[in-house]
Amino acid sequence: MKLIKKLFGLVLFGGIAYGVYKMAQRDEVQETLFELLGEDTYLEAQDKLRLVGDLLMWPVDFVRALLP
Amino acid sequence: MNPKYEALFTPFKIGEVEIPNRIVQCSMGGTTLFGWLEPSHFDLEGADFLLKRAKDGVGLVLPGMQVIRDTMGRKWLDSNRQMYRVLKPYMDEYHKTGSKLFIQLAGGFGRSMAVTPWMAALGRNDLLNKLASPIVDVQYACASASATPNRWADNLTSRPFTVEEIQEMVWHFGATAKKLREAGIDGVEIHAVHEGYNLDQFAIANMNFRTDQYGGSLENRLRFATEIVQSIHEQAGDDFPVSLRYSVRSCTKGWRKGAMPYEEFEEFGRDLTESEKAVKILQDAGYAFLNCDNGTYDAWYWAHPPQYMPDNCNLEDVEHIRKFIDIPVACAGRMDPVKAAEEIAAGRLDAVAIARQNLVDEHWVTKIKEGREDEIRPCIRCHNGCFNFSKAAGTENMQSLGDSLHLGRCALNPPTMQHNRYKIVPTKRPKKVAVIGGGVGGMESALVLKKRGHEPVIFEKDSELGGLFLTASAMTFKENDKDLLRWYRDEIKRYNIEVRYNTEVNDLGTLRRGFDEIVVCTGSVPRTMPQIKGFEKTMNFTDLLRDRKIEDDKLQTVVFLGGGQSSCEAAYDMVYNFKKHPIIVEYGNDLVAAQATCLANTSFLRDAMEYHKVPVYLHSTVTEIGDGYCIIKTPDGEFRQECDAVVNGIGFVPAPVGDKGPHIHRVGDCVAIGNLRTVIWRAWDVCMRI
Repeated sequence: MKLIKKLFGLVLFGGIAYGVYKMAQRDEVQETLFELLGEDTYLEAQDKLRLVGDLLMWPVDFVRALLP
Repeated sequence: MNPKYEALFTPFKIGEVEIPNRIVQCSMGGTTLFGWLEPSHFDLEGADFLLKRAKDGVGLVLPGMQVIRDTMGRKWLDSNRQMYRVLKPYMDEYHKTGSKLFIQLAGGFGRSMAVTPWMAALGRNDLLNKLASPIVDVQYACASASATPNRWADNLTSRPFTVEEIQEMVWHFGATAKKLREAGIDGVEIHAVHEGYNLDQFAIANMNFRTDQYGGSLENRLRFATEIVQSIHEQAGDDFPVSLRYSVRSCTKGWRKGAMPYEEFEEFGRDLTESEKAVKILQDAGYAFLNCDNGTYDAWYWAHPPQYMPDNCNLEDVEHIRKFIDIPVACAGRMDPVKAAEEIAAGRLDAVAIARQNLVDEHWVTKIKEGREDEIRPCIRCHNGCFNFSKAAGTENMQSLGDSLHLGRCALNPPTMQHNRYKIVPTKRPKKVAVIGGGVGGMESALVLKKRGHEPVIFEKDSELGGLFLTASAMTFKENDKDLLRWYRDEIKRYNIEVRYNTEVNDLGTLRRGFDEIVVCTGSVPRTMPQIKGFEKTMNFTDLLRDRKIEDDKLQTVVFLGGGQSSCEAAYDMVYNFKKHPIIVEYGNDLVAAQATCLANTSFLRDAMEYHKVPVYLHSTVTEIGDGYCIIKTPDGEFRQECDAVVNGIGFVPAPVGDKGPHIHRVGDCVAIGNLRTVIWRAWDVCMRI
């Protein structure tokens, strides 16, 4: 039961995180963030997030390449 | 279509494969189907870019080079089955365009591997390299024919490949080609007896000291390349066409020394006489197409010609070796499509290989077909977005990590290879936007805003658009820059954007009532150093170049204070085109030591200064400027230099108008000094969000 609860929690958290990620990609949300943060902070944050995303993809591709 | 282009749109054959026209998109690092530095995978961004090129009408598309064994993760390219499964439906879609696609398979970099500081540290230390080898084996990635010095890092020497390693690689070329053919790929190109890459290092006598079957005679030095094509034919079939990327001449004077286009010199690499024999051996081995230019990493500006190189710089040599073989030949290197069409029509060339123009304008082929060539955005050969591997004295490759991961982007056209990041999305709230400044930043901002549905108005203090780029493009050899400026002005007219000339805005408050948003693009002004006695006597680049003092007979000896790109370009113009006497005084340890400027561009300028014997004082400064002289302070002491002028080349400082605030944005050099890439990309970053 505990394991099912944990799994459910994990799936729920993952779902919410994915939803937030997809919502954040919408142009309206980006425009609002641009206004709220100011262009310098917004663009700097965007650059850093992109680099982190790129680097995170390395181990993903690495593991994928090992799969049969 | 203008008849002068007609020959470009006739078909030709590579082996049994018919290519619908004579336009070949050369391979460009980063525009890959299977990833660049990452472990190989089907790369969606690259796939999107390549499909767009096919839809535009390129006859043969060559994606970016794909090393036969991943640099990261060290998996062989034939081992990822999932990748080939995804490739099959992609190729079905691709073939609907009529275009053909060859994958460029590379035998590695050898001594040309653009090692960064951390890679150099691994490569120099056997233990660290061993520990890191499951992820990256720098010594393997840099392995070459023989122990030769790395192009990028001092004190790093390539280790020689073992015969077993060579033969293992040869087999994997064949295995990969077989899988590619099964997935619908039309052919492969072997990279490369070209540009000083690994196979070229085997082929060049001065880089190959082996005494086994891969060294010595020309046949032996070409054995690696000939065994590869044989392995491919054995495994993928005799009728699977194999192209070879090939440098006719190395144009190299020695380690890290290139030759000027007009220079007489003793060839260190492959000369024309040897090339005549080499192409015959390669044809006889089974290669069906030669995709040619000149150069090595030591003479990089031949393979990646900046604006300083002449148009069609490799054509004469390529046409020469074509006489010795029967297979078709393409020529790359600043190729002018009109000249290429003439040569093809005359039977002296089979195809034209064009690379970077494909990044700048994704519709350039269509525009030619439709007679709209004036609308083509020109490539200015800056390499700032696509290929900015950079190096100065004592450094390794200085390229930023973000750029290393994303080659093949474009300084002038941000959506290239980043189509999800930069796109025109129509606005739901059209606004009236004041754009202050009509330089490149202002014009690009206005174009993005207009395309999104806003109403921009440009306020320009001068009587013409261009800003500081009018000065930067004024040099004799900057025809591409001048074309770009013309293109911008035409686009501003075509999009019917209002420009208020001779209108200087000093107070943003006056605009607040009439406009919803303000974009400040007021650029920069020359930096000053009042602590230098007589600094006020210096001349700036606008005086020298745009106002044409460079042509003044009284101006013969000119001292450039600062050895950056602008100084070196102006000095080159002075010495080469005007036969005058520039002198460069640089505070640092090298000329053009900028992180974002490609070594192909910077090494040309450095080699040119040396060839033309321009006096260059490093670790030096000017301490006093007087009438007809200046005092130069070097590590060896001070001396008086007679001169007609001192040019202020110490850089620029941002010159924004007004304060920051809500609905006020800044674009370009008024934020921080950069280059066209930083200006144009920020124009998009900002104007996509207004």
